[in-house]
Amino acid sequence: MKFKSRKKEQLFWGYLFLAFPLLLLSIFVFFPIGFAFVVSFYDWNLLIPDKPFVGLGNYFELFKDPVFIKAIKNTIIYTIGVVPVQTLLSLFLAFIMNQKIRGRAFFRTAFYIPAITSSVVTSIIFVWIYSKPGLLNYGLNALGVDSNIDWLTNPVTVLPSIMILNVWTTSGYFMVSFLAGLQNIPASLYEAAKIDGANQWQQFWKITVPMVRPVTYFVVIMSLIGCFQVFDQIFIMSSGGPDNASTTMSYFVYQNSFKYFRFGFGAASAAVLALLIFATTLIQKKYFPPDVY
Amino acid sequence: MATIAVKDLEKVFPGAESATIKNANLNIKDKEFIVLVGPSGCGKSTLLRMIAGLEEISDGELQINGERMNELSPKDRDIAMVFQNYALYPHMTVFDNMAFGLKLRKTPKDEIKQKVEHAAKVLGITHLLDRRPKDMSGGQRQRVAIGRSIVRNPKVFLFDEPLSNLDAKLRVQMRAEIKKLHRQLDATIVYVTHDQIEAMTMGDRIVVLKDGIVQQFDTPMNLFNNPQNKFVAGFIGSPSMNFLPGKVIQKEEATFKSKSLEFAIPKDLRPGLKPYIGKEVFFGFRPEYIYDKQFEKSKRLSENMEIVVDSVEPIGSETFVYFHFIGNPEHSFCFRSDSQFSYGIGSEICIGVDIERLRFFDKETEKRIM
Repeated sequence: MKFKSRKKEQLFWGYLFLAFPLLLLSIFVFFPIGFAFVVSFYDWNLLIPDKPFVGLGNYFELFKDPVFIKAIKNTIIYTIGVVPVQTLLSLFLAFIMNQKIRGRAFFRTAFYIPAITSSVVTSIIFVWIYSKPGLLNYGLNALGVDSNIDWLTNPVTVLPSIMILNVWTTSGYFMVSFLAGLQNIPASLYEAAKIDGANQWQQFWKITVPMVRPVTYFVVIMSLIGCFQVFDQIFIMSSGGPDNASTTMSYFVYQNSFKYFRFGFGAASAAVLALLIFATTLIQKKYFPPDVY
Repeated sequence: MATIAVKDLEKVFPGAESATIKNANLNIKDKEFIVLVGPSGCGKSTLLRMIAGLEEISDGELQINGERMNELSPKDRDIAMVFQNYALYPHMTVFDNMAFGLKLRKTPKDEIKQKVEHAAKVLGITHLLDRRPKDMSGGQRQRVAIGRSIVRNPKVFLFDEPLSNLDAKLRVQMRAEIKKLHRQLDATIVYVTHDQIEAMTMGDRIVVLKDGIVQQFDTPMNLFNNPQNKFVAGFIGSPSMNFLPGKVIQKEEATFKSKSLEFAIPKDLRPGLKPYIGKEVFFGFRPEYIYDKQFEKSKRLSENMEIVVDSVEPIGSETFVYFHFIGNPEHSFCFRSDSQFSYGIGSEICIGVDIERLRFFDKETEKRIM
């Protein structure tokens, strides 16, 4: 009897502590998500008082819209380009940072700084770097490569340019996650591998990579979601242009909702984006589970 | 087919005040089972890891089969090592764990399979080949770790406290199995342990280390009977040797004198102790060689020593009796008595030490005099 009442008391306090954050989340996250989903079934325009129910009309329109198709394509290209490079690069950086090298603290900080710098600031810096008289063209010319293009207004180079910026800003962040994972690998495994005859490269592929798999799982998921939602760099650096060459799905959502005030249409595209993220994560979970040894 | 020669080997860790290994010299014969033993921090693992190539050699030379090894990486030394925590690759099956070294050496697939299966059979782990390390018990993991080392058929096996994570019963069993394996493999083994019983039971010869210095390199029985210094005498044997500080003085004959105990030094020992007359020494005597004068009549025993029993620990086959000499309760000693005799706490008895087994150590250098 006494035990039961104590359990009840624990439950009470547990829920009490949960109540406040839950309330905040409900107001600012859960309700808006649900509401956006509802809105996506209406022709909801901020400038027009009449908001007729259109069912799946917005969704049909989306898939007939060449800009949206392009946005999906860009987002997928962006994700496929960024996620593997970012994951491998951050793992590689972490592997190096985990060795006993000179100036380790300096390099760790140097690689991590982009992650804590405002994305607006880094984007503006890269706007200058990528501009016609910018650092990139200057450097290329100094190396003897004749280059005179404006990287962010060229439809071929705009997306890769932003992808490179993204890799640079987030690799340091994920490096820290990998570092934590690496430090959990017992040193004796590397020693055993050395005696078994593994060189540095083999130790990396046969010991390090499989042993940090749980971290890799986390990094890939976070990186995937980040890429699918990429917005700020696009907004600042190219505004989706030229000719929608760098319009991604989130930028498309923003444009339709807050520029053209077509909330119903924008909400529908956001729902498609959410579904895409959800599906990708599920697939990853199913086919590449995070093995914990 | 491997001899190991350690010549003036030194290890100084960067930033360390003193050397971890000082001037070590060992000549290990082919197919010998060598045990490195010593208290924790004595450098025994460091010495092993230097042989393995996991620690750099600061000075001196390491030879395997007469060839200099100092600059070779572990994989080129043709050695295998078993780690204390097994160091199995958790993401690989037992088969892959054992095959890893062979795969890296580009051994043909069917040969790998045959070698791994053979090793698994020898160790009785054939049924575990598909398992992952986390699904096995400590003893099974230990076998896999040994299996991983034997598949490559290396010249030298190195064991770093391989049994210390196992329970007592399994430890005794694995001890016997490793010895058996040694005979089967015909290999040179260097084995590190802090457990002197493990050392005594397994080693052909034992290296006793303390503070990075080799104290004695000898057969188990020689270490026990003829320890070269007080440390070895106290470290080898369980319960360990009793030591009583005192002085050698000259009465009618040479006499050992301490606060509570005084006895004439037996004739055969007098010449050796002559230079020590008037000097401080340690009198050492093992619990095994103490006898109750009331019952033991056949052996040549030292003069009477009067003791008081402090406590008794019966372990079945025998009884450890802890005692002090009358008049000196600060120093406690142990004596190993036949379990048929029972002693009450506080009872006073008269003992003697087998004359052949009296040992004396220089107080300053701690070297054995007799």
